[in-house]
Amino acid sequence: MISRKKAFVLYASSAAFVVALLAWWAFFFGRQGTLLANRMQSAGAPLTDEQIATLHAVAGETQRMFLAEGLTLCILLLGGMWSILRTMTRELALERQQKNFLSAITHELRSPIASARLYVESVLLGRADGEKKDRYLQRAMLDLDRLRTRVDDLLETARVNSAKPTLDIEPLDLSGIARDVVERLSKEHAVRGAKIELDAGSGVWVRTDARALDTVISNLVSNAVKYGGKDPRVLVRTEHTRTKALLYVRDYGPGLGGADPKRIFEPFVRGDDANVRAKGGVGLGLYLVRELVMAMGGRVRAKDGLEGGGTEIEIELALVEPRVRAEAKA
Amino acid sequence: MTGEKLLVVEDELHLAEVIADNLELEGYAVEVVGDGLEALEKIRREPPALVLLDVMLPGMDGFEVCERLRKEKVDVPILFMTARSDTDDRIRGLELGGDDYLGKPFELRELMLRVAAILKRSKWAKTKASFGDTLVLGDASVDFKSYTAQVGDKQYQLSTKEVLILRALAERPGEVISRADILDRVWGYEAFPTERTIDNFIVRLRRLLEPDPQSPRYIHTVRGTGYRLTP
Repeated sequence: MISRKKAFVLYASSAAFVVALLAWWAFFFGRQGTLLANRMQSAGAPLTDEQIATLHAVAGETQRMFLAEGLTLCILLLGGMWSILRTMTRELALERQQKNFLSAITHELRSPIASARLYVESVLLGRADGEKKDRYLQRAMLDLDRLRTRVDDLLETARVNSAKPTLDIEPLDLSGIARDVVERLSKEHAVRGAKIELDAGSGVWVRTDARALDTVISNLVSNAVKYGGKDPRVLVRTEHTRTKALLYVRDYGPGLGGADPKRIFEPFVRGDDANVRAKGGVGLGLYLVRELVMAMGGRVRAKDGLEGGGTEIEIELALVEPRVRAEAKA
Repeated sequence: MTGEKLLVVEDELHLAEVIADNLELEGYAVEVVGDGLEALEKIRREPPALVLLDVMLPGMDGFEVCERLRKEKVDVPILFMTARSDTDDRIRGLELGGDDYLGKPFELRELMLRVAAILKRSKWAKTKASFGDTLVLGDASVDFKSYTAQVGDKQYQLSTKEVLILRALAERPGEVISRADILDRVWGYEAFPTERTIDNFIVRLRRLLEPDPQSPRYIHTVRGTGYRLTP
């Protein structure tokens, strides 16, 4: 396939050629009146000033007609070419994203299989006894859990992609669910030295699906740990206004490194630098978050370049009225 | 048993642990790092006997680590271990100067075999050849220490593979050495290149060392088998 650079050079050269052609027409027809008058005079047909003026007027009309037609054609041509170039650029980007996705998914699925297999093989070959054997089998179990999570994520994404997610909507305490997720993930990520803090506001109730909300918060927290730098710190915060329930998940890592905060919710989009590639994941976590939040009728957005560093993801959902909360609690 | 120093560069904690444990059981002294840049620094400071190098690493990816080392003429043996094991990746790893490539998931026994094979090959390449440091073929002489060939008043730089192929032939002068033998000695266990690859190296060696490469006097082809060197 033609590269983006080559396509751009081709487009720029064609555009320059068309502009040069137009300039040549302008010049050529601009001189037509004078040329005709000179030729007629040199052929022995002296012209009056009036006749010369008429010749110039006719040549000017022809010039304007050709230029108008040429310009229209030129605009159509350049527009068409620009559209082709844009399509090609998009296709190339998509191809690159899919390649990244394949590469990432291969890594994400094969790595836990590789370590689980080596742990079990070591035990089977009698290379681990007693405490070491137990440890190896426990690690193999963790690897299989990790593999299951990855497969679940992929299946969930496939499900969300194939149809609008079906949610079991009920009034729920956003802060309570956030607390459960933080407790669970704190244990899971403690091994990486991650510190996950919760600043939960009271009375932050939303109408949503418990499992989907859990997936959203879990993905955001795991993502924040992943990109939170060394000894990552993550802050989960809930609050509400008169009509809105808000959830913030913030990390204090190096941030998006200039990436467009809107694009991080697109599927298969991940940073290009080695640090991001090496973090694992296939670029579906935030896409899944966006799709689920949209299905809940909410909004999601990312804020980068914050004071103190890092990235913050904000989820906005409709606040449930106190009367409904009371009924739900009852 | 061996005590040779190996460096495992792997950011997956579990994989790093189980690989290191098993290599230690074989008697190797193993060190683990989980970052490409850190690995590069460590290898520059103190090259181990072998590097087991993952490709997707934080800091700097494994391919780049290998490329930089080779550019700096650090010829530490490198075994790539990666989940990305399609043909393009394999070729890239080997072209950048990797010695072998193992796709995840792999068998423990296969890993051990490959590690032992690379170390054996690397040791052979480092020991002094049975015929000394110099091989004389008529007007041409090859210096196995500096990897150079002197032909008349011209000097040529030889690649590691060229030197090792020549050495495999010169260690048993007059004997037919099969292509499979050369592959095993120079590239190692379950070598990636085809036997045709050796033919290409032989063509270049003949161009450098033979007075008439079309009718060679020193490096003879034995049809269907391999090559014979007659100094």
